[in-house]
Amino acid sequence: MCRTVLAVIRGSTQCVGRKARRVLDGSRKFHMLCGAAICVAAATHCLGHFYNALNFSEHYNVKYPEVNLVCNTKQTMSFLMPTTVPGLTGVAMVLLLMLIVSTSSMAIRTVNYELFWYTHHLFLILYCLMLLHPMRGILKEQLNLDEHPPGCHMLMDTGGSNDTLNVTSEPEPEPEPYHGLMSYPEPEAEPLPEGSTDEFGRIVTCKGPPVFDTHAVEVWVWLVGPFCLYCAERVYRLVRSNSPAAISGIIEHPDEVVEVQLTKEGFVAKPGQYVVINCPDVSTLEYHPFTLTMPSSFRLMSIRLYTRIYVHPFSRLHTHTHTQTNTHTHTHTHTCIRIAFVISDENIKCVAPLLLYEKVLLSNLCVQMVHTHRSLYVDGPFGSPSENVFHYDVSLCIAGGIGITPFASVLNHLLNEGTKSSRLRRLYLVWVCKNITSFLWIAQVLCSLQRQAWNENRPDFLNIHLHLTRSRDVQILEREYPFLNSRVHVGRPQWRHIFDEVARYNPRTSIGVFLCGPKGMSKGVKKICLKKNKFHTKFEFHKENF
Amino acid sequence: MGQIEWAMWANEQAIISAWVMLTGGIIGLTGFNRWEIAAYSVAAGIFIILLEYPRGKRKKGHTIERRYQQYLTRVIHACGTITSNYYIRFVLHLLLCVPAGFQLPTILGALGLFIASIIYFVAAFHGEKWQPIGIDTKGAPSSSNQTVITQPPSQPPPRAPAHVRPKRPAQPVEGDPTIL
Repeated sequence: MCRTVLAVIRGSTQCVGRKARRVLDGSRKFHMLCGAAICVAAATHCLGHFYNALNFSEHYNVKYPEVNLVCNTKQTMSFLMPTTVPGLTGVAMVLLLMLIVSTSSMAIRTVNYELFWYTHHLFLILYCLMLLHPMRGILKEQLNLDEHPPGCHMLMDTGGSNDTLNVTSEPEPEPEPYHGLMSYPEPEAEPLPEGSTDEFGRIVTCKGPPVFDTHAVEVWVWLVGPFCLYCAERVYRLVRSNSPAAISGIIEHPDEVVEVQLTKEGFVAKPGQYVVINCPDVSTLEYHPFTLTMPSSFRLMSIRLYTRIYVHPFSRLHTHTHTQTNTHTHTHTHTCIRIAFVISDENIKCVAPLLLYEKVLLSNLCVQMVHTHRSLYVDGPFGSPSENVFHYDVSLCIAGGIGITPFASVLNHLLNEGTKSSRLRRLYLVWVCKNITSFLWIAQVLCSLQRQAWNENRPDFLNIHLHLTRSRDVQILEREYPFLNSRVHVGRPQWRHIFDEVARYNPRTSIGVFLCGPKGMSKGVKKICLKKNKFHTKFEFHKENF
Repeated sequence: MGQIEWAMWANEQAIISAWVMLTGGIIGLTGFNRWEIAAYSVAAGIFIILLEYPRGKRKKGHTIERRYQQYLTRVIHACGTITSNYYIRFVLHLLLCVPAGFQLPTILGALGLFIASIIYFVAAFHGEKWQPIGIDTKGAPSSSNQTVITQPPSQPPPRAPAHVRPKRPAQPVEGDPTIL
């Protein structure tokens, strides 16, 4: 999961094409596939070791005792396993793998992400054990094959007598049928016992007994490259995120959403990228992802995040603040420290439950946060599929609720740089929300962009469909944003109609479909993208996930 | 680490260990000595998979069910306290994992099951219990507040609710609307 490396590859548009970047979007699924492959390989490896253990006892080599691992035929591997390095490391590795797999299931990740996060980092111990596993090895190899080739006969001189001890090394291959001319040894050769022939009928004598040693350790060859790359990336990210980002402002938006504005020296991000934020007062180890809503350049260097707040009345902090008898200000200061970010679902990106009891305290909290100069640590930016919006002629962006944030970044970029700054000719935006007030989050940006597109003689650049699923009150938009008001539809979007309309007006084009929303929505949209349509328009589906 | 539901983790760990024990048992039947332990391991693995397959209901929030678990949920729920108490599951897994530790292919499953039993102990210590999904465990409301109506109403409307009306035999009284 080398996110910085992936972000660099994704950003190098000259080297990497659009199709290759689509492959990078599936990096998480590839990671899961690798995990499954590791489990299958571990199971097969263990199987092999079980049968090895059986063979070590049953096929004890009497002639060359140094080849064996067990001391006699009665001894089994069950005795040796806990007393050898490979045995102990092997068992420990399998147990760690079982722990990692058990916490990686979808159910555990949704219920308790921290458990999954911390147990997954046990892979570092797994790597170290894997390096130690082949040491003091079970596998043996012969070192002097030229002196003692397979099938040769060893002459052992027993005190001057002519008796010879016919000892052949294991294994003994069947002698090949002889087709040559030579049928007896050279005259100057020593007299040899009868029947001692090699595969060509020539006599082969050993120069010495076989010498065995443990097989060389080779696992490090496979592990060291990726491990070093991962370590380098983590060190780079640690150094990059070492300087804190100061909170420059907090703005409340309707429908329990807060915009957090941060400033960080030297921070540059492209539209569609995301960052991970760490709040050291809550946890020194945890980083949680947030999509940027404003692309950052050297002249702006600002980070803006939108996060939804949930009131959490059963938190321990709530009980603590309720029993506080200190001054009101102190209580607020204490609560503003405990900002906990939780990822509840992979599709809901910007979820940050604020551990407060009453929402009315929020405004005071924001003021407190700015005044007390609390800072957060920002690691990133990392790439996401939404960066590809500008690499299509026509793009269709579908957002569910707070999932508008990556597209807000895209819209802000277009507002700053102009609608003619990339090859994008037409942008469709479908935004589905429960309440009408949610549309007010970026209503200003949408109206400004539409006005700018008009001024740049591109009136059909931005096509907006706003869908309201719960409330029916549209008066708020009618007063302040009549442009958006005329684009509001009540009820869930009919994907087939939307896609037919987009295909009709853009025949024979490749359209990028970008989705940031709940799983149910993504299933329906993906199904339609894969279907053929009569206008020969191709829809390429991208889903935003961290 | 927040509000963690230990039982959910113990459930996943137990199922994975049961699979490992089952596979190890099948291997142990092919050529290894002490084949009885391997046979036991196969049986114990299947039993634990069936026992742990239905996921328990979370205290709050939506629980993701496993596919087709509703059939086993009924069976597990019918067993009562034996299956819903996590202390009993802790002891059960502890006892089940011991015999499997005496043969090489089944050792790994036994160790995994031992870890699962420890996590179940922690879950039981935190007061968690197995609740079925889709079955109402609160029981029928008590009948002391409600009257059981066996006869049609004896009074024409307007009339008070059944539990307020005075008890009288169901004889129609004509022409007296003041009687409730």
